[in-house]
Amino acid sequence: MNAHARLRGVTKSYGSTVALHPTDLDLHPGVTGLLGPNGAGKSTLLRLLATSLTPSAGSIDVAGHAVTGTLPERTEARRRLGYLPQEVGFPRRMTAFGFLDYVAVLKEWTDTDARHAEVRRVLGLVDLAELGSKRISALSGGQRRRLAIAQALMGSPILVVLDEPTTGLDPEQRASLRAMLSEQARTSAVLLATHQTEDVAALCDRVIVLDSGRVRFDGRVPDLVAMASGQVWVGPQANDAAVVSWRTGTGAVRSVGGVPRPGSHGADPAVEDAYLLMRATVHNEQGVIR
Amino acid sequence: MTHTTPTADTGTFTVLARREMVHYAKHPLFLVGLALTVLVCAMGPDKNSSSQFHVIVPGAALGVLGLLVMISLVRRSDRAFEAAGTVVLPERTRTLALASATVVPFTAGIAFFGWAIWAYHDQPPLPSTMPFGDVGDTWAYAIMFALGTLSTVGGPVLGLVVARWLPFRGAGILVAVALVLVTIVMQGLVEPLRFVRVFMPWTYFGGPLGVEGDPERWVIMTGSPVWYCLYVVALCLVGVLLAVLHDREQARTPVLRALAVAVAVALVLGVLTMTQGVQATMVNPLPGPPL
Repeated sequence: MNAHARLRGVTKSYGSTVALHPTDLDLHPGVTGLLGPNGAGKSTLLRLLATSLTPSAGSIDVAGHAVTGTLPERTEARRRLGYLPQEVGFPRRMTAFGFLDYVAVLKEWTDTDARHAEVRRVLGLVDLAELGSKRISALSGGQRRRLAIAQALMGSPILVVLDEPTTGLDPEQRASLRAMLSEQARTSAVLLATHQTEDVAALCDRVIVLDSGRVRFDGRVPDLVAMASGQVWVGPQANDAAVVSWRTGTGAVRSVGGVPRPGSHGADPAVEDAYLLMRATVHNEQGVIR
Repeated sequence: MTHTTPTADTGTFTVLARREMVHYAKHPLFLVGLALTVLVCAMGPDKNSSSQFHVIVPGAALGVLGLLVMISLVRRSDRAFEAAGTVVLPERTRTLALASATVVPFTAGIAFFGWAIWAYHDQPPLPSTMPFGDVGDTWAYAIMFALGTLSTVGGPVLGLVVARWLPFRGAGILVAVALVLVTIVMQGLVEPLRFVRVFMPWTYFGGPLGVEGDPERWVIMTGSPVWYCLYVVALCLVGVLLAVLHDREQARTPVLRALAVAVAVALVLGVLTMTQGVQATMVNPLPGPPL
């Protein structure tokens, strides 16, 4: 099956700083989670895919159109992708409907009826159908975030690139977003960068861990979780030898990595545990901490 | 779920341009400027000079305020673009669509021009004002068109350039104030600047500047308002090309070439404005009416 998006040897540098080391990726229909600490290169990778950044080297294709090729090719790629930037500054005086309608024109929806129908569809997808006539300045942070997601989903693009889409959403809205994205992912490649490991666990069938501009893990979510198998414990005492440990709401101490303390017992690992272990491994390799 | 990829056609620009025109027409600052212009015109022409000095109203209310309106529209378009992260239409198309929105103030400017000509004939200027001597009505019409009508386009076009190249907050106000100040200096009040004043995008060609012994005497200054009209049009073209040039993703060489040609044409037209028409300050032989 042809990949909806393909990166080959893609790098991005800002002066002497390498934000993304040579990276190869294929994105197929489904939801791919992109995990990594701040400054890992997640947003850079997403912006490269979204054509808002030009790579220093390598090639990127979206639906067979070279993002790194000529302008007409890049334009063809843009016709097939939706992108949610990390930070969105809205034209606050516009209404929610007016904003989406304007963006739809910028995305070449010229037929008024079809455009309005599409705007209503995406407003409905993010549960903002009733707020279409409200000015953006009057919307809450979560509502604005959903509005930004709505524009990314316009036209059901082949590639959907979302930078921290669940920021500012309440649990109900996050659940609703997950349902919507999983539906979208039946035909689209959805790549979402997030710090919310529970979103990855609940939604993604593939996860990529990026750290210091390098892909540290690329595989199925259960495979990532399995890496922490046998390394998560719950016990009564604090564990200084662990990579990380904390007292949970029940009063028990959950520790990841290191050696178990007396009286502790093994626990089922979660995506977050595996991610924290992987981060510790990376830092050990780099001699940063521990 | 099916992917819906709208296909590009020639209608895309038209749709966007129409949208920007609506945005312009609904902008509160434009509506304020329009209301001011209508109000002043409704008060009727001046008893001495008829409608000739009314040009300052659309110049300020639709031109200078238009600069701010356009900056606001560009910022709004840019914010929508940034919120979308990536869109199909390039910045150049958006810039040209915004430029085409100047049709809105221009229409108001044309309406003003129609009123100014009607008022000029309905209540002609006194012989002791202007025009006088060999200078006729065409001279007066050209001034009304250049300073009254074309300024309604010139201001917004300058706003387009400012918004594209000076993206900091307050740039519009700063440029508007600077423009007004420089324009005041370059109205022909300072004798040594009278000859070169026609290179300003807005300048008077005559008025009650006075002579020795009669501070209210009307004079006509050097230059050809007809050539000046063409000069201002060329300046507007230079402005649009400068704004279009900002898009780094598109090929810039053709734009640079067109810009070089437009600047050269504007310079030639500016020189023609200066060297054609009235070549020495003309003083009305009649004493000026009381102001």
